Amino acid sequence: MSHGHDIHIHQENYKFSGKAKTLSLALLLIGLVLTVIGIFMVKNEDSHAAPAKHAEATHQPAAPAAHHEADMHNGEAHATAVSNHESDINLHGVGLEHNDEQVYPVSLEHAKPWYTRVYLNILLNGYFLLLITVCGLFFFALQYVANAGWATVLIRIPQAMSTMIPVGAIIVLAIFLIDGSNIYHWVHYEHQHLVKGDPGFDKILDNKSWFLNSKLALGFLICIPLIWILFGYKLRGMSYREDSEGGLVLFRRSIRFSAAFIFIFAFTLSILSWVVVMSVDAHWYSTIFSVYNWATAWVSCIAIITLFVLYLKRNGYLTLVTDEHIHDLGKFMFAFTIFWTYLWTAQFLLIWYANIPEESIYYYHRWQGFFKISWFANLVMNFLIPFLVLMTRNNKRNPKILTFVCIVILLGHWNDIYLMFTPGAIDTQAGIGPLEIGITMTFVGGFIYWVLTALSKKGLLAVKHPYIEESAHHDVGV
Amino acid sequence: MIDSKLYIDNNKTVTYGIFENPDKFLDTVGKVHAKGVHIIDCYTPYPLHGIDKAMGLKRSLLPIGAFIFGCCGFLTAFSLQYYMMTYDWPMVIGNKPTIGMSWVPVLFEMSILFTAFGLAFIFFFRSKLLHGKMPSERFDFRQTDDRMVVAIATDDRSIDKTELSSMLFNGGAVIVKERTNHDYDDFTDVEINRPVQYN
Repeated sequence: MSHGHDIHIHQENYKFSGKAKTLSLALLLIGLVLTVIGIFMVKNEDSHAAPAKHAEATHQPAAPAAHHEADMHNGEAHATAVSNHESDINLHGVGLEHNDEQVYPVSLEHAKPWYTRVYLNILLNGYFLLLITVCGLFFFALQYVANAGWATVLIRIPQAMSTMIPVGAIIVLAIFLIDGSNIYHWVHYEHQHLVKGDPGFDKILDNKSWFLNSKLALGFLICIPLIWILFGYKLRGMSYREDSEGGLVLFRRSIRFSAAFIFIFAFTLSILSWVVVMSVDAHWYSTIFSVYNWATAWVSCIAIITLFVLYLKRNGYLTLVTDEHIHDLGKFMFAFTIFWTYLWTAQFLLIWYANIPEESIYYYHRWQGFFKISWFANLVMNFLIPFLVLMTRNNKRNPKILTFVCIVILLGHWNDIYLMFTPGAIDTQAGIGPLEIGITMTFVGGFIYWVLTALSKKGLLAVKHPYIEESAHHDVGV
Repeated sequence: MIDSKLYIDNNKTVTYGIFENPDKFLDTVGKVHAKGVHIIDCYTPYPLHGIDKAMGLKRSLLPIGAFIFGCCGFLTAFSLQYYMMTYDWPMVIGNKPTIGMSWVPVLFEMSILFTAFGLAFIFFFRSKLLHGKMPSERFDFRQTDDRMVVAIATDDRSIDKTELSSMLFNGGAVIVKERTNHDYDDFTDVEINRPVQYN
């Protein structure tokens, strides 16, 4: 369009140094220090209060009848301990009297050692990281598939985010291997090798074992991120090649690859969310869970893109990004905030209304005791604040207000992920202290450092993208 | 909600330029607006990006309308459910409280329904798509096909008529006309001649 001023498109190169570098490294280091402090605190607390805690754990209302003792069954050194506790299970066993008609309490879990809280926090942050980074790749692919031009000037940010997929994938995989049997009840159950008729035999988990078994889970945890990494590598490579070659060949090929990626992404993300998160509450399931996870990740991803755009813009980079692009990012956030709330409500309302014990126990855990504050904060931070603040046009175009909302959304969705994992995995041992804050800070610092480094390595602008001109002239109207 | 300036007064003289090139059209409209001349409206066969800024259109009040309609829907749903489920004949279903989460779907749907219907009606009203109302802004038969029309009020004498017409012609107008009577089947058009160019 010839209207208006002419825009000259030239490459920008981001130099990662100074304040941002210091700040991200400082976050990383303070996070690590806090984590170490947190680990010692949790360990001390456990050794002091262990007897009381265990007594309390056996009297939780959710699982009064069946309670497995903490046993470290996956090490040979503890073989004796396992056989000792086997008799324990016999005493408290579930299926002794009513073999088949037994209605199993949903939270049929064993008490966890103190370090599970540490591993769980690394897992939930790693999972959040994996989701956000893969959503960066999804954002990138979506622009090609939708033939959308508006985001071309800022497309290098989600692209840089997607370089971090391997980190999240490795963390999730590592935690699954190291402490999977404590975090996931079904892994713990699987190691017991119970058959029908055995005391402690769990019909529900047995029925699910064709899907919820360690081999298949490992396969998913290795293959799915690998597919994403390969797609990311290919799509990024084509985009960088386009910078020097230009033309439409790479663009057309990118569209095809993006379409394939989005199709695969829909299925793989669903499977990953079932394996990593939903299986924490192994007896429970929700059919909307994967979409709900995607919504959480997508809103957070857009909030992070917005924060990076605002940061780069303030430091004199991304000169082509105008209020119009920022406004569109704000609209995206507003829309998907409502989408997230819709899914959250859809999941909650059906379970609350039907009130089937197997299902409603999930919310019973989250609506009482320690998690009550998180549960309500979830709605306030992820729905009320973004919904009310982002409603007006001026707020969406105001960098300060937008930064505030982005941070609220990110904290809120961290809390959301926290609520998905923690009550199911370490119910009574949960807490928020230096450990949680430290691990999260480490991840945030590392994430900022990684993404800004990735941004500084390549040009900030997809200069020869066919839609760069359109994007530079993007205008959402009066 | 309704900008009265956008209705063409029957007694007003309107100069209108008919364009074939969207870029030239956009540029000329911008220039005419920059002169401080009141542009009544632009008629294009398809949405033209940037035309709203070029003709100096103010921000639409539609979002406020949407908000009000949404609130109406919310209140309607709230009072409806309160009256039916709590006040008139309290119904306990599944041992759930008579005020509570179970209201959410109805509140949500009614807010959306009211907003959607309200905006549709406002849109019809605003774009004069009412029953029995004939369009008065038929300047060129091809304005819904491939031509763009800008209608400019020339009564307020903010610009000289010859200056305006030469501006439109120089900007790429194919035809410039002046209309004094705006009835649907009885209008008076005077075509203005292209100014002679002395090179």
